[in-house]
Amino acid sequence: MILKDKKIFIVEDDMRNRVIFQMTLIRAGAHVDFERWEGTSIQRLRNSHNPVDLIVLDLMLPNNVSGFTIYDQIRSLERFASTPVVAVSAMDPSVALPKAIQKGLNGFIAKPIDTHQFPKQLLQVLNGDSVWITTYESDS
Amino acid sequence: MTHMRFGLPGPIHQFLSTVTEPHPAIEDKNLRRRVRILLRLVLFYLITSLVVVALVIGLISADDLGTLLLFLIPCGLASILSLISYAFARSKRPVVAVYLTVVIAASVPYSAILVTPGAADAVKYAPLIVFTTLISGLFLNVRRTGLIALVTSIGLIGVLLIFQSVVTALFPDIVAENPAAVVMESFNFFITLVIVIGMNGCILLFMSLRDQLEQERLNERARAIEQEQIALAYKQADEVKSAFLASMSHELRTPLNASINFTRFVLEGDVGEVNAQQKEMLAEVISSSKHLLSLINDVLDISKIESGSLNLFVEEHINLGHILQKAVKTGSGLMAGKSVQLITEIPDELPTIRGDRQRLLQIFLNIISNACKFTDEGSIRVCAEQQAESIVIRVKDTGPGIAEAELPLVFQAFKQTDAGVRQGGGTGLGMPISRSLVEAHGGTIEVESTLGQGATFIVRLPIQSAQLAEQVVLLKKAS
Repeated sequence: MILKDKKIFIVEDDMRNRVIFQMTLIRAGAHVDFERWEGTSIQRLRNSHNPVDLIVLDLMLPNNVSGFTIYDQIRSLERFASTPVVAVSAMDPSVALPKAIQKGLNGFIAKPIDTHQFPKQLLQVLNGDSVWITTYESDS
Repeated sequence: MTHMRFGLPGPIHQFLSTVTEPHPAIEDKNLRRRVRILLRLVLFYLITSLVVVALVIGLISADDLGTLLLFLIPCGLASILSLISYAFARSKRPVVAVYLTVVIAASVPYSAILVTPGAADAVKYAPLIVFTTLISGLFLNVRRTGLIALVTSIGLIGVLLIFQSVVTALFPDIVAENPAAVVMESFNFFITLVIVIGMNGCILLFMSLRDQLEQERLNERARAIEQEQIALAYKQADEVKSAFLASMSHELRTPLNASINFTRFVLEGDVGEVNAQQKEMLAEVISSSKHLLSLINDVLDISKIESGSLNLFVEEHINLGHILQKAVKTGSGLMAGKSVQLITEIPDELPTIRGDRQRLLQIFLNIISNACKFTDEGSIRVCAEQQAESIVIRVKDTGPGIAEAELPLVFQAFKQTDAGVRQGGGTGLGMPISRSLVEAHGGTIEVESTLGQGATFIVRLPIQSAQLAEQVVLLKKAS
């Protein structure tokens, strides 16, 4: 339960990925909330008043919306100005990762995620470190 | 400043520019310049012919009607022709004016010869015919100019012959009394013809030379444009390919995320009991999915290498020893059940290097797992040492080895060695990718082998790769 009581908000449109995040993070003790994707912006994150410890961001969203645009929207909200944001994406890391670093994201984790490592990687970010994972690495 | 060109006072130059302005529909800059020259020539002819007309009217009395008409008819005609020519030169089709001007230019020596009383004097005007060639040469191609030169020269001969016969007919006495004058006359006539033909020839020669140079310039420009277009097409194709790869990468990895991780949840009992046999099968699904993932990654990597769009994620201070140990650990997992010794000789004091951590691991995973796959007995030795500014890593196995003829195939994409095909493993892309990755680090990779006596892969990596120095990505490290 390394993420006990941590509040993690996830911006992800794919149902399968949401389930994977949910099962992985609940198993690690975290509270998970999702952006229910409608239209092109982060309505739920914007309107919610629940505390958020970390935001997980998909980079390729419907309607050709880039996660980096969403990242800018998140950062423009005062309450999320310093909340750690980690990109989790199946995008080609050699393209996405340099951009994530340049944009100032706190981490990039390539999909497929390793469900055993994922909570540890997020914990690392919550502890103020950054993580850059470009390939699937199994701990087995 | 521009008003003072050719030393003309400003207002006059301005007036000249206005009256010699070509039609606005003519867009070609070069053609506009030529039309401007033509317009000046036409104006020159117009003004001089009008001056002559004025002089003739002023100086010759109306009583001498024959002489008056003799001068007035050609000069008046020339004035009218010049005026028409001017109108054409300022229109959209200035080429009509060229032919008219040629006619005017030819009529000057013709009429001069016909009205000049002395034969020796008359023949002096003959070289003026060259103006026709010059004017047509300015606008027309070599063949037409040549034709005009021929026609006007023949016209000149005709005019001279008419003049001669008129002189002979009018003054038979003088001709009979002074045969030497006739000889001189013929000689002048001959010399004049030579001059005219020579001048025309020179003009035509210069023209064809100019046309050749022009053609070469045009060809060169066409070639440059063609090459530019080819380069652009390649670039566009590359962009399409890159976009396709990026989307492919996303589309292929997304379902694998689901298949690996959902299977994992089931295998780990998150959604209910699983028995031993089910676990075994689910583990097989995961391992196959991982295999599929590595194949997809290989294909995407090789496509990126082929299109030159492979980017490294460069860091400083990478511990190569750790990476080698990790690769050896993964490799040993592949040898379950084989009696192969895995020996590592990696000194602790190996300096850290500049490079892409993940790609370095990929290089040695490829080499070491290859050795593990092919070696059924004996040993695999992984050793590293510093040599000057490089680190040299050797992976030596006691496997079947590679035939000399097949050695060059090892690092070539889409070509597997016989042994590789027999082993039935992988895409054969591992080694070509490894070579590209080593080279991207500024290093070298080679293989030494004798069939039946194992193989040794030797990787030489620069410690502080200069070609990666520009690419170092600064990781944001929170304190």
